[in-house]
Amino acid sequence: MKTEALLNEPEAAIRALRDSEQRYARLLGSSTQYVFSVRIAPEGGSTTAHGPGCEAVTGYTAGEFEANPNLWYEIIQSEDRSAVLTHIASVMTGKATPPLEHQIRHKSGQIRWIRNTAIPHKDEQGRVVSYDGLITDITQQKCSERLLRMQCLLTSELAHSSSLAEVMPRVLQRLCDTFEWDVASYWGVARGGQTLHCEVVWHRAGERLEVLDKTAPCSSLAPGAGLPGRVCMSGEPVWIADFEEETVLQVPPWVAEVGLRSACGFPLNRGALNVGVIELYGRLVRHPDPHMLEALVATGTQISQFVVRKQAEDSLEAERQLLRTLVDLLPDCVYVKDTESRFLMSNPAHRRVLGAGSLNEILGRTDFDFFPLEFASRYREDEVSLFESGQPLINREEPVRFADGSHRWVLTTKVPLMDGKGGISGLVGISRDITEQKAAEDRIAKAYADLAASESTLKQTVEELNRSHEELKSAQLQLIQAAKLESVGTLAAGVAHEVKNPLQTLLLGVEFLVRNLPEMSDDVRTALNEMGDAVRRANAIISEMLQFSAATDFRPTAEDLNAVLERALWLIKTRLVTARVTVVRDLAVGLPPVPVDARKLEQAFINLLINAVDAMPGGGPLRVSTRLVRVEPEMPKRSRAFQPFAVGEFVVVVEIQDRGVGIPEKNLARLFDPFFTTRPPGVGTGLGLSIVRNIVQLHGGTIDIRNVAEGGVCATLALRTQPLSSDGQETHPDRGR
Amino acid sequence: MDKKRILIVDDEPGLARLLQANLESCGRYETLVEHRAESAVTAARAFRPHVVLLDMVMPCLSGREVADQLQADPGCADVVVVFLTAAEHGASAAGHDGGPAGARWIAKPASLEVIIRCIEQSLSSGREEKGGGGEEHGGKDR
Repeated sequence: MKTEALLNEPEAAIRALRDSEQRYARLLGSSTQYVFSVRIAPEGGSTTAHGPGCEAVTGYTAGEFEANPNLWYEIIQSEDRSAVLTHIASVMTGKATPPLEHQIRHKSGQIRWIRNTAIPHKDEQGRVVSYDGLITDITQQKCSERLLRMQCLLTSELAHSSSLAEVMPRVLQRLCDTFEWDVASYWGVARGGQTLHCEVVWHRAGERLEVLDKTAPCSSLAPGAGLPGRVCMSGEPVWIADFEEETVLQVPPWVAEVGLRSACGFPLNRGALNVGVIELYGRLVRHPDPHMLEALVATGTQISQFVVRKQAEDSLEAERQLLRTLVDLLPDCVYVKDTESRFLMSNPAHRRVLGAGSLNEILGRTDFDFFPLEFASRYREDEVSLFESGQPLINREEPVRFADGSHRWVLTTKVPLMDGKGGISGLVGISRDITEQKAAEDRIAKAYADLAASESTLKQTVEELNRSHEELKSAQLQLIQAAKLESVGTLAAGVAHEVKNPLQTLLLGVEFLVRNLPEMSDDVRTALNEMGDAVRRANAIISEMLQFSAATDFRPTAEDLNAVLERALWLIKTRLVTARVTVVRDLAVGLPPVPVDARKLEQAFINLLINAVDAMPGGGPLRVSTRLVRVEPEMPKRSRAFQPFAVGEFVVVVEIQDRGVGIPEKNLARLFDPFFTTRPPGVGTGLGLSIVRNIVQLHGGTIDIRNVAEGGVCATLALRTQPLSSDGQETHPDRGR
Repeated sequence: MDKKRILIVDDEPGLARLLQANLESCGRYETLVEHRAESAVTAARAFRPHVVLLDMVMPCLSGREVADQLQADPGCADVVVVFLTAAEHGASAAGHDGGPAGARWIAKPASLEVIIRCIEQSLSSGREEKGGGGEEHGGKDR
């Protein structure tokens, strides 16, 4: 409003003035600058006038400054006072003095940064009579500067540090320094996100704070618990302006002990993942500062990257250690080659096999430098095909020559290494010494073979044993049978008595009846005759059987066999007649006497003669012959009959031959078996030939019965002789008629 | 004609009875049967037989033992003993244990004819030192 207008209208003027004042006040209130003037009195001393903006910047009014001329000095932060004085002194000299930035304490207790730009005024003589100062609140700037600086330093520090544990205290310190906190702690998230662990704590120097060195404030928290827990769970920073006012969050007791009043926790977030929380505590009550929170969260992100990287590095290192230990300690050879089959890596076991003292002796070289050509060529061939096909070589058994010259077998697996772009950059191989194993396998195979062989031998043996067993069993049966037959002999006496007595009674009875029945019909007579015959037949069987089974007593005497034969013929002469059998004799003259039991031999001859007669029911010629024979070498081979005799020995051969139908082939083997007979029951006992054989064997001779070509059967007996004349009487066969 | 006296010593009743019956039916003999071997000597003393037909195998005493007793007894000194044996070898049964050499024997079962012939031979030759062999029964077919 124009001045003129103001003068003419007082209310409007007052209103306008008031508006202006209010505007001014508002301006002042939000001013970050104010001006002060210092007048130097000629006699020394000075007066200072502070402009109205001073309240906004310092919190004190101009009036308070007037009231206390030293106030301006008192509000300067103690560490900056000397710098300020120096600055004033410099201004007072009139020299061009750059502005000074220093801290003051705002009336509220906060520290503010101001820039003091002083402009001196000189008089004509060039002496400074006054100066004006422009105070600018640069707290914000300073904060930003500090933040930037801190971030720069942090970046550098984090990049160059090796571990979280080492760098974190410095990080916490920087945070406290930059943002003016007293205590800071770093909480790491345990794997799985289940607990927070307090890993690092830093505090400013200060009496009460030293308590923290002795007691661990808190070691672990569950998510959601306490300040760190809340931050971790929400992923957002949390600010506590005054612990004494705090009702929601549980306040750890040490906080009050140490005298901390405010805190701020912010997350270390890597994207959506929270890797930790940092808490900052201050001794003063502090109101939330959104700018600081922003800065802290940004810092948190920066730190989290570091944390994550460090964790990855740590875990990688641990794995690498594990792998290294594994590879180094494996007894198997482990090696890495490039596509030209040059060694890129070799573990101690592999080096031993190659005979290399150190890794350097191996790197860059190939199998051809260590193994004979034929082996190395084979290995290279396998590797070339592996590189070309991309197919791993699994469990190949291959021969190897170790550095010590020994030839061994190994089991090799080679696997191509991919370069990440789909190509093959090399291979990793592992070889195990299986020489022992192979030897063991060979031994086992051999053992199995031996086992199989011995098993088959065993089987054979078992079979042979079985056969023997069977033979033994049948021998046993034969023995039992023989024993039975023997015991029959033992029973003979009893049998004889028990059977012959009744037979005698029967015979006497029959004869009595025949004699004494007054009149006998033909039937009765026939019956009685039959009965008598029956008794006689029974007796015949018994006698023959008993004779057969009886212990033999053999009484040989020197006999003329022709005479024995003739007597036998005479004994059956009636039979011969009735059977119309003609006897043809061919008896040798001058046979030497033969030691025989005449009765027994007679019995044998009779048996054979009767058989011959019976073989010719219609009659026929019955040929009997005797001759003396000297055993020639080929005779025993030609005929079994001569086998018991020695070459050169003299034997008498008796033959009885008929012209009957002969003996069926199937019966020939059983001829001499006791009770074997082809006759009808009641005719003959079947014991005849077995008795004949016994008799002949008693004499040490042989008997052979066989069919002859012209029809009929010939029984041949060969009996030992003892030539009675030792003066060389001629004993050639002499056929007589 | 005087009937000759025959003492039959055999423990089998049927056999002894029939033998007795058969011999008596000839008309030439007078017979006595004694079943118990131990009473044979007593019976012989009383009966004074000409011939004693002795079974070989009897309970209590064997035929051999009875023969010895008879021989020892003065009253039976001139009795002729003929053994009736069921053994298959009469010779061995009668002779092998050292009894009277060549003692007569008949092998059972013997026909009456054989028995009588033997008795007659015994009677005619009286008591002989050397009896010669015995008689096998007849009727052997094979």
